[in-house]
Parts: sequence; C-alpha cells; structure tokens
Amino acid sequence: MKKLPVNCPSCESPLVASQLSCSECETVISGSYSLPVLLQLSKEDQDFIFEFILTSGSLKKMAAKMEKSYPTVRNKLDDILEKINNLKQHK
Amino acid sequence: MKTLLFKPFERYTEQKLLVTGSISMAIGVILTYVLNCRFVGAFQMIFDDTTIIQSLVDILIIMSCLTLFLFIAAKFIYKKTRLIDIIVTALVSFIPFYMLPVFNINDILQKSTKELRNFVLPEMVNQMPLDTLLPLVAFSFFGLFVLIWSIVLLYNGFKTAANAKGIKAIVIFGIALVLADIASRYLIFHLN
Repeated sequence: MKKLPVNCPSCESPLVASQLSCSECETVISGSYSLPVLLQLSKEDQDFIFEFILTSGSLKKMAAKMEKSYPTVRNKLDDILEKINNLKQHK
Repeated sequence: MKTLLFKPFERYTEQKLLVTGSISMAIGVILTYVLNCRFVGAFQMIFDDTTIIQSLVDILIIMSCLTLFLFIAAKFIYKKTRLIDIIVTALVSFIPFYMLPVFNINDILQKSTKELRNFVLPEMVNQMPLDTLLPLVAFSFFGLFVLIWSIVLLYNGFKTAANAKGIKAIVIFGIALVLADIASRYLIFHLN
C-alpha cells in the first residue's frame, strides 16, 4: 500500500488534499481540504490506534499482543494523544 | 539480548519482573550473608561479618528508599506512574550488585583489604604484593561496570514507568537517586 504523504517534502508544512476524483466516472473535484487529524499521524501511530480499537481499548491486551510491557504501551498511547492534541491546536 | 540486559522494563510484564527481582533479592541476601558482605547504601558495599537478618534488612532499606524517592520523582513528572513499576525497577536494577559478593569467596577481598593497610605509607606503595592487589583491582573494575549497569537499568525503568523524557527528567532522576543513597546510608547506619 502506498504511504500517504502528510507533510511537504520541501518545507515540512502539512499538506492538504487539493483534488479528489471518482475512479468510476472520472469526475474530478478541486478545492483545498485539510487531512483529518488521524491521517496526519505516522503509519506506526495509525496502526497502534487501529490495534487499540480492535482490543476494545484494553492496554493490557495490547501489551500482551505486542509483547511489550503495560507502561510501554501506555506511554506510546500518551505520546500519540500528545501528537493529536498538537495537531488539533495547529489546525 | 540488549533488551533483556538493559531495558527489560519495556518488554516484560510487572509480574515476571517482580518474581525475578524478588528471587534475585533472596539470592542476594544469602550471598551477602554467606560471603560476609553488606550493602550499606544504595551504591556502597563493605566486607564485614553479618547475620542473615542484617543482610535482609540492609537490602529492604535500600529497596524502600529507592522506591520511595524514585516514586515521588516519577509522580512529579507523570501523574499516572504506578507504584508497582517503580518497585520492579528498584528490585531488578539491583540484580547486578548481587554478583559482587562472589569476589569475596574465602574472604579474599576482606583479607586483601586488611593486608593493604600495612602498606599505607607512600614509600611502601611499590612493595605491595601483586597477589593482594590483583583481586582488589579486578573487583574495582567489575564494581564500576556493575554500578554503571545498575544505574542504566534504574534510569530505563524510571523512564518507562514515568514516561520520562529530556534533561529535566534526568536531573530529577539524579536528585532522587542521590537522596535515596543518602537516606539508605543513614537508615542502615542508625537502624541496622
């Protein structure tokens, strides 16, 4: 799967979606749409959130699944929350 | 291997770490008793005759001081820190120190230290017998290695428990460690 770029490779600013197209009828919509906060996270962080939902939000289950200790998984979640809060503030 | 030796707190559950640390502590108490060593501070060991109760109390005081000061420091940095994570940090990070009493088999180091006292004058330094000096030099180097290893373990455990980052966390950790060492020395000296 292709990785969605979220930051400009030239100046590091957040990218916006400027064109959306329908693969069926080839309709193209142009504009300036900000990417949702979750999509602006790294692939690793997105995978973590996905796993978090799949384990019904149980950090203990996640720790067992990831073969990490509970505080390591909790720290990772806290770091992601901090990133999300920062992204929301900069919006 | 690197994770096992330096960052076990990132991977292993608190139950596994608690069992490992407690068993190691029991072995440490027996070793210090059998091999005539005492931990008289978080980072200080002496060669002296001891009882099993004294050995146990010494180590329990050190564990309590490390836990107390590191927990206060960790709570200051991160409100969600759990006590169990700090307890296992103290227990596991002390494991390397339990290897040190082995150097005193047959009271080698105790005898060497006593013998060296006969060569305290500067003009007598060159007359020190090598077989007396060698065990002490080997012990010093290994002791330094063990001290660094233990502090790395302590910091990694603290970092994981308190989600600590940056210079501020290192400074707070350092202060907590010094206070734990001073408190444990004071308590062992006065209570045990």
